[in-house]
Amino acid sequence: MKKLVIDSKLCTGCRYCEAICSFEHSDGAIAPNKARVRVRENSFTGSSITVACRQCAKPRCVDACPHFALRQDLVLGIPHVDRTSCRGAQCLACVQACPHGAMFFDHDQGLPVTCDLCAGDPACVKVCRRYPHLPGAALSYG
Amino acid sequence: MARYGGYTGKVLRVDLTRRRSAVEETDWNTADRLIGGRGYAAKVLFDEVPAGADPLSPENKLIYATGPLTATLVPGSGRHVMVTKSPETGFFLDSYAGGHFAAEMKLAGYDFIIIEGRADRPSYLSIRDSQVEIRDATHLWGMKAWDAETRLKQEVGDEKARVSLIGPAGERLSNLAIVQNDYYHQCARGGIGAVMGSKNLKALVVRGSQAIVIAHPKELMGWLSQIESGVQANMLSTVIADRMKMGTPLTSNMTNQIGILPTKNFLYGDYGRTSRIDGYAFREKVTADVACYCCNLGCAKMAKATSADYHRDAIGGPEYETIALLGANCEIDSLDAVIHANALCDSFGLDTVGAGNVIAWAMECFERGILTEKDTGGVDLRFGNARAVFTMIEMIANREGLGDLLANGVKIAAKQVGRGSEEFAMHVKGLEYPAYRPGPVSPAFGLVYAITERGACHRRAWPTLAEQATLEPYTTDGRAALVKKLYDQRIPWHCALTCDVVVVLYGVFDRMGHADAAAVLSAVTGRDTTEGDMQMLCERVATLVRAYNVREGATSADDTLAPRSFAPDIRGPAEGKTLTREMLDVMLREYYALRGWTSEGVPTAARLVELGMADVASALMGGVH
Repeated sequence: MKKLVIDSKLCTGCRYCEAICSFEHSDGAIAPNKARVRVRENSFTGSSITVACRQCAKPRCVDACPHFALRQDLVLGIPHVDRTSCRGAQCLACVQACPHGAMFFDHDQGLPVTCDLCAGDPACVKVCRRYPHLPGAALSYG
Repeated sequence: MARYGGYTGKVLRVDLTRRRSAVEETDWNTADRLIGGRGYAAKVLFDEVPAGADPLSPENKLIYATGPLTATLVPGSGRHVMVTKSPETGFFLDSYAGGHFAAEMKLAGYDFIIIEGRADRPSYLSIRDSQVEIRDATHLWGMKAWDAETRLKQEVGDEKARVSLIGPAGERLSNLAIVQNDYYHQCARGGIGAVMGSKNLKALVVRGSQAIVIAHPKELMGWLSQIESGVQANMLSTVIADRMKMGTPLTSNMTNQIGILPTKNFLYGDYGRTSRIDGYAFREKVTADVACYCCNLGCAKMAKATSADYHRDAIGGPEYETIALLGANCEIDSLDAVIHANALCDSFGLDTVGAGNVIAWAMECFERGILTEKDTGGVDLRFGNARAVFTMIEMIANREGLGDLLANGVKIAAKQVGRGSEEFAMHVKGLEYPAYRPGPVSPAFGLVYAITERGACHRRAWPTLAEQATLEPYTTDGRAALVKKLYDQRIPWHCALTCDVVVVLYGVFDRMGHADAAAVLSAVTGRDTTEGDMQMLCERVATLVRAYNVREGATSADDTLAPRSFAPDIRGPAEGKTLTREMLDVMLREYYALRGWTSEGVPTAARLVELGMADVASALMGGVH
């Protein structure tokens, strides 16, 4: 299984990933707080932590759902949310269960959202700059 | 609400005197003609601030402006501009900053925030989407900028909130006071922080949760991929990779080699110890590569002093300008000392350019005996004394002793001290020279400094490389046309609004001209925009801002340089050669003519009407006939 690899030491905190993620998951609107990858950017220290689904072998979000609304995609390794059985804001068990803080909640849709790996071709990876003097980019997929 | 993509369609107007705010619709007529950012805000300032207004009175307004490209995936689009009437020059002031504040302001739903009046007590503005509150800031008054930013994030209970604020220098109405956001990003010049301080406004704290709509997403992605292929193809063969590694300090290697790196209060254009403070030396101090919102060039490095005698933590910067003005120009050859001085300036809310310039002037006064230890309060203010620089920064911020005078900027300080010190007070219109030395080596920078509306500035046109590579040395030939071309390349991006560093760097592979500005604006806004529209925009904006200054009493005589810049070079590649006043005059007349102004640099009523600004003509000349 290909993995989304995050190396936060290489993250510049530009949040291009957030912007492109929200853009690709909407009809061309940019809304970082809807993104499925997030950057916890600390402007004072200049350190950033990139947060996205880690494709856990035994995903706690799936286990935590009392309504069986989540299932793991065996090809991509990410969870899928079934909109009809999910109880949304009344529950939030999956959001709380994720040890990486990578299950987000979209208040407009009333649903949890997380990385869907853009069906195997993640947009964030494409915009994450590999600086020539650094050993790699913060986000890679492989 | 928004008529076009890229805009939020809303203007937040805050009246501090009456402690109330209102939301207005973005003026689409103005947006059609002046896009946003610098152009739009200039029109607001022209229309709403009466001629002759005291910049530090409630009559003046402080405008935060974004543009339709702000926070839209366009590289360098995490940028805003603040526009006001400058207390340092008495003329138009636009000052830009990167970081994340601009994106947050737009995501909160505002294209522009117009701040009016004066609060009756220290206040800050809390903006959370449509919730706008003017809150008490008495407990924050006097607090250093970094501490106040952290405190404000705690106070609103949201570490993701973005803050734009002043430090003690702004509260004390210094002409060197900045408005700072995201800790290390500054609208730095012309005393913009003093305008904020005069309004008793400590800070804006902004959090937004809205979306920015792109009119034609596929076209935007197509344009972005073209630009990215250009970057990939040129990254290693051009200056781009080095810039990504060393940030702006790399510029010192270039300017020192050309002979325009300000040294010893602009007496020289090269510094023998540049290698101790240049891009390569800087990289040794870098602890993290950091980028502004949606920028993949990342010149915002974090750096840390090696010696334990200096500021202990890594800070954002120092940038080239800081290294040149607080380093070479004060003959300080220690990067650790420059980092420490930078940290002091940021925390007090002072401009590192203006501070480095005015301190170098005071050092020269001291070495010439114009100022003595009696004036400096016992400080041994000789060139090269880093501890004296630190002390002066604190004295300026606190307006103690000599610092009280220097806090007014080099023009006022030299006027008061007199005794020939005005000859080497390096400013235009009151704004301190930044880090390019105009003179026989670079007549073009002389012209840029002279014509820039806010005073001496290198960010409207940057002729550094083109002049050296393409024009006959030590002459005026081709300078006016080059400067206008470079200025015009940037105007659309200053309105749109993105970072002009990206414009320069992607310019090396011939992108980011008017064709690109038109293409990306069409894609984002959905409004058909042509290259012709961009040229028209340039003429409009340049002429509107000029008209603003003319209404405030500016004449061609203000488009000049410090007397030292007209003296023969005493060393370097142009030793014995001079940039004469006559040469500057020739370039000025050529430039005015290219802009369609009179030989005195005044936009005529006919020209204003031709550019669709009959109302401006009317206000300027008292009616058009």
